[in-house]
Amino acid sequence: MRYANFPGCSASTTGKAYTESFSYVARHAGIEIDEVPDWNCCGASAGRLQSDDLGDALPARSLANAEAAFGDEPVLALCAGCYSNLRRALVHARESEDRRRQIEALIGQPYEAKADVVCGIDPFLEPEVAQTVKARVTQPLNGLKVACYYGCALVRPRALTTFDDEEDPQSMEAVVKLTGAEPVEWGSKTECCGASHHVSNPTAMKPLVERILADAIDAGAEAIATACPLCNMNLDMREAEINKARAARGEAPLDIPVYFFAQLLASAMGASDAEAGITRNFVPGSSLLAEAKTREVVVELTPEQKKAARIAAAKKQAAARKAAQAAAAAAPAQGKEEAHE
Amino acid sequence: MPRDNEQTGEFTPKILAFCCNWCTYAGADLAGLNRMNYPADVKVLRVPCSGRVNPQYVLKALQSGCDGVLVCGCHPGDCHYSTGNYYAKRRMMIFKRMVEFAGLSPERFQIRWISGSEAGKFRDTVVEVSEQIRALGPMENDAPSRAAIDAVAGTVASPEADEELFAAAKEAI
Amino acid sequence: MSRIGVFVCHCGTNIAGTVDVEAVADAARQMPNVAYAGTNKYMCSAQGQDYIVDIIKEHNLDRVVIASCSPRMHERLFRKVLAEKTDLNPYLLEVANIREQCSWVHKDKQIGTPKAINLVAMAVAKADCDTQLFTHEIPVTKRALIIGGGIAGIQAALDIADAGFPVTIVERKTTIGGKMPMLDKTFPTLDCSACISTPKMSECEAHPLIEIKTLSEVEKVEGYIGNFDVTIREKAKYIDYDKCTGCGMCETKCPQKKIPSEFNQGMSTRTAVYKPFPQAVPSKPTIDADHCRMLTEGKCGVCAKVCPTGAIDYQDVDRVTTERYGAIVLATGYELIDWTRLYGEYGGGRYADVISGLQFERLVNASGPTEGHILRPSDGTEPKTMVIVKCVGSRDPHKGVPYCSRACCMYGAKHAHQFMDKVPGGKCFVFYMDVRTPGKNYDEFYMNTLHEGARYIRGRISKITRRSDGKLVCLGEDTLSGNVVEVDADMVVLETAMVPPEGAKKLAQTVNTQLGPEGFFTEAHPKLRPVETNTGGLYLAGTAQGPKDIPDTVAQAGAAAAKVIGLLCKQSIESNPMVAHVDDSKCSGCGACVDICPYSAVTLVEKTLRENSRKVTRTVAQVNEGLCQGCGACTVACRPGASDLLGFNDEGIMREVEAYATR
Repeated sequence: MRYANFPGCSASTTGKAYTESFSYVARHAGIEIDEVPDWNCCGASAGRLQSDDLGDALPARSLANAEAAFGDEPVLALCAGCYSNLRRALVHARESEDRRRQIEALIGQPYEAKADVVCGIDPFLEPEVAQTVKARVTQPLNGLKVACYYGCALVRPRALTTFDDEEDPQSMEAVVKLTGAEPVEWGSKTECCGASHHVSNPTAMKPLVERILADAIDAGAEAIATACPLCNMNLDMREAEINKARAARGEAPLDIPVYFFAQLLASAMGASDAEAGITRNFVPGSSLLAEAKTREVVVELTPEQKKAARIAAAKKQAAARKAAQAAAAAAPAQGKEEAHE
Repeated sequence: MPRDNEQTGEFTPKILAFCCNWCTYAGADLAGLNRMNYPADVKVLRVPCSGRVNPQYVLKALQSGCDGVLVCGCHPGDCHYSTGNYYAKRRMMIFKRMVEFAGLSPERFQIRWISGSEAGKFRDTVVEVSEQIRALGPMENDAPSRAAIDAVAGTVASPEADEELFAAAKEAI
Repeated sequence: MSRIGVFVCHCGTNIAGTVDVEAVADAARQMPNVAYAGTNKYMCSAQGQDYIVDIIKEHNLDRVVIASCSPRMHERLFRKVLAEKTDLNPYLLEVANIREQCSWVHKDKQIGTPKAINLVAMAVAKADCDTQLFTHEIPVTKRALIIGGGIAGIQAALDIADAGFPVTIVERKTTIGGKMPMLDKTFPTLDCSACISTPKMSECEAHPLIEIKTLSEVEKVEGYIGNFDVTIREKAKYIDYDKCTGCGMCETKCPQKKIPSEFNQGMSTRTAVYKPFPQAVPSKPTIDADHCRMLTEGKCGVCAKVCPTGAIDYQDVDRVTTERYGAIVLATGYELIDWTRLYGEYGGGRYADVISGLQFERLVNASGPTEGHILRPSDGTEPKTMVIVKCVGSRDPHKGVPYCSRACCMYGAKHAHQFMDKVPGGKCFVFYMDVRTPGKNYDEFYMNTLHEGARYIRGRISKITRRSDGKLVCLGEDTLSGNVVEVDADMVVLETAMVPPEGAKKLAQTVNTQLGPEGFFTEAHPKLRPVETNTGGLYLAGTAQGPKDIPDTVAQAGAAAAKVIGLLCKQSIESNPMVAHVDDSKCSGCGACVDICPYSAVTLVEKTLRENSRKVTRTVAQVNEGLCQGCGACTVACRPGASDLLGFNDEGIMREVEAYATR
C-alpha cells in the first residue's frame, strides 16, 4: 500500500517518537510513504474556531495538493487532530457538491475529494500488511498486558471518523495483538485526557489523566498504547507530576509506561530503543519491553485443538489396549495348541 | 383560455398530476388533512395505479393546453399491485426521452414517487414543479416543439415503440 | 346525451370556508350534459342523501357527480345510496375531491373556487363516459390462516375457531407461545405470565378446529380476499409426530448438551433434540439440524436408539403444501433490538452482568436458569445494587429507532419492583427519559414502585465500565439537578427497543401489503381501521402493527378475529367490478397483457367470434374477473387498444384530461 503522508506540526516535535517508530514499521512492512507537497497547518487549534470556511479551507488545501500529486492515494495523518480536521474537510466536500465548489473557490485550486483520509492504525487493518507485520515480529512482547487508549479525535464524531465504533473501538487492539502482547478490556479507552487544557487549565486536566492511568492499571494493564501525539504526551509527561501529588496524599504511585502503538510494533519487529523512539519516552519504557520479550510463551490451545488432542490420546490408548488384548489372546491359544499336541 | 392572473398579470400554469390511488393520491389527501398549503396550479387526476397511465394521456394534456404533466406513483417496491410502478417507470422514462427529443423542456414532464405517508413530499413536489413551470412560462414558449409533440402523438402507438417498451418492461421485472 | 347532476357539498365550513360552493354550482350548470347542479350543507348526512335521491328522481338524472371530500372517504357511501335508494347503477358516479385537495390546502376563495370548478369539470367529463358496472359473487373459503403463533396469533385463532371456522397457525419457531411464556410476571397485576399463556397454548393444541404448523413459513400467497392460495413450507423436524409420544427420552440422552437455550436467552443450555420449555406446544421435541451430530457429521444416532416408538427420522424432509384460506391474520410479533451491536458504551455485550430486560425476566422466573433467584451471570452472586436503563434503542434516532416501544416504562417499573422484592436491602436505580404509564392501573403501579424505594433518575447512562472488583461503573447525568451521577452497580438491566422481526419485509412482499418506515405492517387507517390492511382479507394483530403491551395485543387480536369472522360468515362477497375488459373484436391475441399481469388474471383462449357476419375462431385474451385487481397495467400494454379498464376507461380519462386542459 502507498500513502500520502500529512506530517502536521507534531511529526517532528511532540510526536517525533511516533514518526520514527511508524517509519521503521512502514519500511519493514511494505507500506510506502510519500509526503504531501507543500502541506500547511491542518487548522486544529484555531482554524475552525475562526470560521467554518477557514476550518475547511486549511485542510482542504493540503488534501488538494495531495490529490494533484498522487491522485486518489489515501492521505495518512498520524496525528489524531490532523486526522479529524482533514476528514472534516473531506466529509464536507463529499456531502455537498455546493460545499465542494465553495471549498475549491476558497483554496483557488481544484479539489475532487477523491482520496480518502486515514489514521495511523488504518494501514495495519489491511490483511496483507497485518500478515507482513506478524511475519516480521522477531522479538514478540509475550503476553504484555496493554491498555489501548484512543482518546477523542480518532473515533469521534461518528459522522467524520468511520474506521471504528466511537464508544467501543477494537482496531488498535487487533494491531497490538500482532506483537504478541495481550490487550486488556477497559472502560476509559475513549475518555477525554484533557489535553486541550494542557496549558490553560492543568487543574482541570490532571484528574482526567489520573483516572485514565488508574483505570488502565485497575484493568491489569502493564502499559498504555496510544495513537495520538497529544494524548501520548499528556499521559506520558504528566505521570510523574501526578505521582508526586499522589505521594503527598499518601497514595501509591501509578506506574505505567505509555507508548505509541507503533513503538510496540517496531520494538517487536526488532528495532532498537533509539530506532523505535523509546528513548524519548518520559516514563522509562525500555526495561518493560525487554522483560516481556524474555517471558515464556503460554500457548493457549483452542477448544478444537484440545478436542483433537484428547481424541488422539484416546485413540492411542485404544490401539494399545487392542494390541495388548490381541497379544494376550494369542499367547494362551498358542499354549493350548501346544498342550493339545 | 385565461392564462394570466387578472389582478397581477402573472402567468398561472396548468399542470396535471396523474396520481395513483394507493400512494400519491393518499399522500395528497394527507396533505389536506394536515392543512398544508400549496399552489393551485396542479390538479390531480386519480388513476388506480401509475401503471394505468398511458403515454397518450400525457400527450393529450400537453397538446390540448397543459403547461406541465406529473406522473406520480408508489415508491419502487411498494406498488399496491406489486409491479405497476416498475412498468410505469420504464414506460415513462422512454417516453420522457421521446418528449425531450421533440424539444420540450424536461421540467414539463416529470415522474415522481410519493408514498401515502409523504404529505410533505407531495406539497414540496407541487411547489417545486409549479415554480419550475412558472419559470418556463406557457407551453407556447416551447412553440416549435408543439408541432413535434403532435408528431410524437402520431408515432407513440407504433408497433416499434411498443416492442422496445415491452422488452424493457419485461427486463425490469 | 347524458343528464348529469352535480351536487356540491359545503361540509359545514370545511369546504364552504375557502370555496364559494354556490359559484361552483353556477359554473357546473354551464358545463356540457349537466342537467342539474345544487348544494347542500352535508351531502353525506341522511338529509343530504335524501336530497340527492329526490333530485335524481325529480330531474330524471342518469349520472351523478358529487363534489365533496376525498373519494377515499365517502365514495362507497354514495355508491350505496345510489344502489339502495335509486334506480341508478352505483358506478355512474364520480366524486370531485374539493376538500382534501382543494379547500383544505388553499387559503381563500379566490384560489379555491376556480380550482374547485376545474375539478368538477373534470369529474363531469369523466362521468359522461361512465358505464354501468355489475359486481359478481365470489365464494368465500371458510378457513383462516394466522401467521405467527404468539399471544396475538393464539388469541385470534381461538376466537375464530370458537366461532366455528377452521384455523391454521403457522409458526416459524418450534413452539407456539411467542415471547409471553418467557416473561415472569405481567404488569400491573403481577400475575404469572406462563400461568395465563400456557393454558391458551394447550387450548389451541386441543381445539378440534385449530391446526398448528410449527417450524413453518409462508412461502407464497396467491389469490385475493375470500380465496387466498397459500404455500406453506413446514421444515423437517426429523421426528415423526404421529409416532412420538413426547416422553422426552431422546432429550435426556442427547450427547449435545452445550447449545445455548434460546428460551432462557442464552443463560442456560439445551440439547440438540429438544423442546424449548416443558409446556411447549406441540408438546413434542424437534431436532436442531445445525447442532445434531447425526445430521452434521453423520455419526451419533443416540436418540434413534433410545426412542421407544421409533419416531426419529434422520431422513425427514421439508414438506410444502398449498391450501386455500378466506382470510389471513398477520401476527408476526417483534424482536428486541440487538443492543450489543449498537451500544459499545454499554460494553457491547462483553460484560456478563449487563443484561437485557428479557434476560432479567428469565432470571426472576422460577422456571428460569437460576430457579428464580436473581444472581449475576458472571459469578452467581446476588447483586445488591441494580441499575435499570430505559429507552435503550427506543427514541434514539441516532443509534436505534425513533419511536417509543410503549411497554418498557411499565416492565422497567416491574423489574425494579421484583428486584427490591427478591433482594432485601437491594438498591435499584432507574435511568429514564420520561415515564409513560397510560393504562388502567399503570400509573398506580409505577407510584408504588417509587414508594418501595426505586430511585428514578432522569437522564441516560453515557458509559458503563467494568472495574477489576467486578463492579459496573455507570456514568450518567441527572438532568433535573444537572449533576453527573456515578453508580457502582452489580448488575445492569437494559430495557431494549421492540423492532420488527427479521423477514417482515419479505413477508410483506409475499402477502402484498405495505410496511411503515419503521418496518411494522401498515394498517388501513390509523384510527378507524386499525386491524385491517389495504389488502382485502388481510388483517393485523399485535406487535406486527407496532409496539404494544399484552392487553393491547390481546384486544387487537380479538378485533382482528371479529373482522375475520365477519368475512367468513358471508356465503360470498361482491367482486370489484372495476376490472380489465378485453374487446374481442380488437384483440390480436399477442399476449402482451398475459405477461404484464401481476395476478395471472389474463389468459389466452380460443373463441369463436362473429366477424362481418362470418364465424371465425381466433385466439384472444380473457380476463378472470375474480383474479383481476383492476391495476390497468395490461390496458397500456395493449397495442390494438382492445384492453380497457372498467371504471377508469381510456375515453373517460382522455375526456377528463381534455376538460382540464382546455378549460
